[in-house]
Amino acid sequence: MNTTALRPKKRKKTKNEIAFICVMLALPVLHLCVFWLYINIDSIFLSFQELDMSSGQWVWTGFDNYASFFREFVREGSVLPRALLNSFSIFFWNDFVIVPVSIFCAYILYKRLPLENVFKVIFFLPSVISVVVLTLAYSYMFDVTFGAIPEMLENLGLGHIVPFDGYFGDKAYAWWMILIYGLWSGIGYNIVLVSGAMARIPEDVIEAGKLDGLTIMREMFSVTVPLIGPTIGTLMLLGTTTIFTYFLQPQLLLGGAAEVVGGYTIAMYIVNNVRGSGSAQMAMGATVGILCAIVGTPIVFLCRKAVDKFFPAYEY
Amino acid sequence: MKKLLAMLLGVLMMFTLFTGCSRNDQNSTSGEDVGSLDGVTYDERASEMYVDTKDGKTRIKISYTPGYGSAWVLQSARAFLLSDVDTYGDLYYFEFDMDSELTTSVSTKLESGVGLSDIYFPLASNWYSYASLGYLENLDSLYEMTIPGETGTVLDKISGSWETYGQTVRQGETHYYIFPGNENITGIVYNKTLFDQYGWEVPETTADLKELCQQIVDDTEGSIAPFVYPGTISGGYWDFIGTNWWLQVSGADKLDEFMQFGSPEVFNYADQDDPSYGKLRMLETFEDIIVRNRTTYTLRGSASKDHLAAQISFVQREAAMIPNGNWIEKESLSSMQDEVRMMATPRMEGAQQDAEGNYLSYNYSGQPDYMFIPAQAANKEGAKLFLAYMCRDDMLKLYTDYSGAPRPFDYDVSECEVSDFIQSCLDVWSVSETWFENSQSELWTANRIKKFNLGNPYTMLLANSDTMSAIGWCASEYTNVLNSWDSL
Repeated sequence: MNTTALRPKKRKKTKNEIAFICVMLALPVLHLCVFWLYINIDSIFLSFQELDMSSGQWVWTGFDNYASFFREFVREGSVLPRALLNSFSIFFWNDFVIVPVSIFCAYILYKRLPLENVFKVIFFLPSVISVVVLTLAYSYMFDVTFGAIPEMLENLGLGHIVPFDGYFGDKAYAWWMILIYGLWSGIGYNIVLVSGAMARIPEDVIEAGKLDGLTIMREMFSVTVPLIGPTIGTLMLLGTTTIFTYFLQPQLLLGGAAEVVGGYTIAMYIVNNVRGSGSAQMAMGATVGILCAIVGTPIVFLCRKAVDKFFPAYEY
Repeated sequence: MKKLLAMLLGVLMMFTLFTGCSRNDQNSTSGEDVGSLDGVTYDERASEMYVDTKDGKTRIKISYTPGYGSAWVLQSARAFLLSDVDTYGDLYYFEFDMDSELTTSVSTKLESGVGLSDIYFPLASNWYSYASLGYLENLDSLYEMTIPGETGTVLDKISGSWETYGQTVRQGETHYYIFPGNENITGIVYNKTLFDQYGWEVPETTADLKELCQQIVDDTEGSIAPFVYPGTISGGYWDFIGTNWWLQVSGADKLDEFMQFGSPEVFNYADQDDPSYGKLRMLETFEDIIVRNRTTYTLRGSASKDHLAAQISFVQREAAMIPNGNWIEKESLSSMQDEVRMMATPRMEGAQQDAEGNYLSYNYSGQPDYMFIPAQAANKEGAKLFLAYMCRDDMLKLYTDYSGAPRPFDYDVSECEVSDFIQSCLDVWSVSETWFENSQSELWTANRIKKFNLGNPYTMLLANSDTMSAIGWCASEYTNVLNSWDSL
């Protein structure tokens, strides 16, 4: 039997329909071409070039920029190894601390505890305030001379644990302060997403579990978390993007001392090269960007695989 | 309850929106005394100034950073529009754009070439690549222009290193691409009221400074620290003192030789004739006075403070001194009751003397602030005319009166009407040779080498006081430069 004969004939699109589709697609395609295709291709080419200051021309230098980067990486006293470590630590902090804490907080709110809406606002508050204001408030909170937290520690007789250089000027504390800031400012956004996912879990599933003697903890780990798996997976996958993009928080909190107190990240290195040093160093920024893409792409794919395996999507 | 929370959230969202819109408030000149603007119309909302009307006139748009306020630019524009030399007010009107992010965003603006201002006045930054890429207007004609109402040219009136600093080579030809902005005056700013109250003497030598620090600690039982510094700024502003000491020991010629980066040997510090000998000596002095005594001579938590937090601590009498510059008055001193002054940087042991035995005095201005006209600006001729007009004696004086900063031109600052603090800065500046990093070396202009090529020594010494020494840092820097020289 000829199966093709059974298929409905495709209706030819009218000119108006084609025009409509073209118009609707034009903007995203243009956006893709300019902001993704052009920029990425230009970056790849730029990483093999160098600005000749006397002629004002970009000249081809092969792998010189890559060689310079590796020389800088292995140089004694280079900030890059620590920057790489910090960048990856942000990923692990996000996926294995911030996301679990967010799930736990969201679950408490989901269980309709007293003042849940007040807590939602409190948690969400840092997410709606500008990062510049938030980092300023955070740094003033910990300021050794007039901050509330050191003063509180002093009053509790724990003044000796306040470092002389302050929390942002001491190598032992500086990076931890950035991580804690990430937790403080980051969980609100996650809670909103996770709470939304939890709210969609059918009541009868929980009710049926309760009839079978489901405890609150068992409910969380065996029912709630698996059912919101795709949302958790998305949050964890988003964590991979922070590896090579995290710079604003250490820049605003540690400033120029980030290099000395161990608060540098790879993204800061790129930004400082591109923005702080004029066009001449832009090629180095592009080079590091390409290297980040080479390292980062497999990490994202591996995470995607892991997320699909551990957080499969259930239909309900 | 839900309604209350919804309202609270709504208010917060509005607040966030206002935070996002704060740029307009920053651009406002409200709160600053900008002086009389009689004779012109100043539309603060549109940031425009004109005589009678702007219709039919050509715009001159100026972008500047807020560090020295807005009064200087408003008064300069007013004087230009009401000029007695020519009827500029019939031809031009002004638009002002105060932008706190200008220094970092200017490269993007130049690259895009969209909505460019006619004059930019960013803070010190690497301008050579802008010139190299053809973003900047050739200013040779401006340097050769006769100053309106005077007889000499602009170039005749420029002083010091600025005679050549604005030049660079592009496509085999040397031209001027930037124009002198102002000269910063840096050093040690101190609380004169506290000094008078406790009878502390302004130190003349580094030995005196060390003694003074101990005296401050003893007299106040540690309640007032000798110094506060902004630790989250790279170098914590200590370089304003440090490079001055380096200049005192090595002299400006040796530092100029250093800045040419002719060979890795300029980083050698072993011999007194080596350009970096003074670098080692000044770092050793810094180590001796500050690093080894940081828990008593610097305010607790300084390493975590940004420049504003450090200045707040200084204003609140938590410290008696702060490494800073003349701009601190505009930034932080408006609410301070105490009298504040700048002292001449204490003299190093072994400081150089002139033929008559007088110690050489320097002002390290840091990398200088400059102005430029984009190659694609809409009104280049008007911009040049205005910049030339700003070189008149009365305009230079007006600039110093309103900004508190001198400009690198030959004019008499003693006639300026300034505060006691700015007067103390000008007193230091007047008897000093101003020096800043000025190099045509391609390694420098391409940002492949730095004055301190192994991170910032001040911050590193302070953060690693138990493991790092001044001589160790200099040795590492020299070895590092030697090893990497061929690949720079």
